[in-house]
Amino acid sequence: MNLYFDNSSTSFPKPEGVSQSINEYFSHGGTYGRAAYNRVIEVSRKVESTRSLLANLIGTSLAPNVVFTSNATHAINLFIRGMRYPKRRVIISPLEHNAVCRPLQYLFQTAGVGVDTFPHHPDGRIDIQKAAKVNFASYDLGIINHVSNVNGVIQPIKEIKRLMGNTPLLVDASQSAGRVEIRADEWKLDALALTGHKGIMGPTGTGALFIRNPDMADPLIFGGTGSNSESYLQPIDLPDRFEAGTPNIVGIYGLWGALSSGRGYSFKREHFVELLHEISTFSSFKLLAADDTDFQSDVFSIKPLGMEVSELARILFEKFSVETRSGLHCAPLAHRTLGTFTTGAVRFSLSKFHTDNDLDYLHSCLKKIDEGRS
Amino acid sequence: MREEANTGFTILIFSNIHQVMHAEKIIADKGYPYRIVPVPSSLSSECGLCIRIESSYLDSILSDLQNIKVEIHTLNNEP
Repeated sequence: MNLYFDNSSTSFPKPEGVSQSINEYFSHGGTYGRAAYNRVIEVSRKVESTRSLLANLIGTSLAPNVVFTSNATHAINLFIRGMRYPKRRVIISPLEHNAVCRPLQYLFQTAGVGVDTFPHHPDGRIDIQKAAKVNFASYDLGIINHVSNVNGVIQPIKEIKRLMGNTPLLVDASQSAGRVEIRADEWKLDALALTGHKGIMGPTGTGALFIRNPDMADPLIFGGTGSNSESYLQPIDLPDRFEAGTPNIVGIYGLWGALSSGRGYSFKREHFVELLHEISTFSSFKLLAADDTDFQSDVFSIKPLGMEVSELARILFEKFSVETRSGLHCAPLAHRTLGTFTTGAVRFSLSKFHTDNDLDYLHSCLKKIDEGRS
Repeated sequence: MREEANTGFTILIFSNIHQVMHAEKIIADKGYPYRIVPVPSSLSSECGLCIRIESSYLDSILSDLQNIKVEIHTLNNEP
């Protein structure tokens, strides 16, 4: 039985191919580029193959525009801090994580860049009808958390970008990459940040930024790339412009293993929706989920009524061995939007490895706790 | 694999490793003879790698590489 329900923090278990691929790297070693012996050529092929798999995952034909980073936070910072803000105004979703809020706060303090919030429904989903009245031309940038790491709401990215027109949109795909469909080219996304260790189920320390027009942002880090070495200037070609220094080759090998696994969901979608419905009937909990299940990913939270959230997490682990994450989930803005600031909630984030039986067990645990308090 | 005829060699230099690997995949998939070699110091102070091909296949390979930016150098001696 798989009782690990904290896959939005980091996924577990990983597909077998992750450790196999990492072991393969340790058995032959080598760096990326810089020389032309077989060990290096093999590594360089694998790194570029991984880049192509990521490009395919997010629906872009622009593989060189997919730049490796150490995680989604790094990718978000690379874009936010590299951009220029002549209008001094940014608009964000009401469910943003601190990976977005903190760099924006820094921009506010250092450059006077202000932040507005998209009009939205009570569950934080952007209200498309109201958003149609927003003057997006007055903003330098829009930022949307594709899937909330608190209630799992999936934002209608395609419609939002259509409304925004030429105003750039950065999509934070930390929770969505590997979980829900992304079509970067079809949706005309300007930038997208992802991490490798959550929905994709790769190793920690991996991530990527997709940037359609590299001139939109200055590099965050400067240094050696194995190209144009005679020059002190950072290369302008992608991906080198944003990839100074030796990449996380071990992690990228693991990421290749995850992306190549072809792992599908082991639980049925309708079973999950039924679980959410059952939980919503329990009198001891407030369910934090999408109001419309069409916009629900496999992440949700509950706020216990009359009990500390940490206490619920403790009971779930000590009595039922269920692993969850309680608190604010580094997303105070999301919890403010959902009315659960400052206590937060207990989050349940599923994995493709969960089965219907695992969901039934979780249901029985919550039911027992609810009955014990009713 | 196409046959390697001794018609001299041409070095293809790309802007970065990504482009080398991208070009290599196209060249390998088409079955052209090639080798990945260090960028000859006579051509560039570059520390990376490049692709050496049979000069007789140059036009065909360039046609297959289409939009990839490439610098072309014909060699008198094998590097």
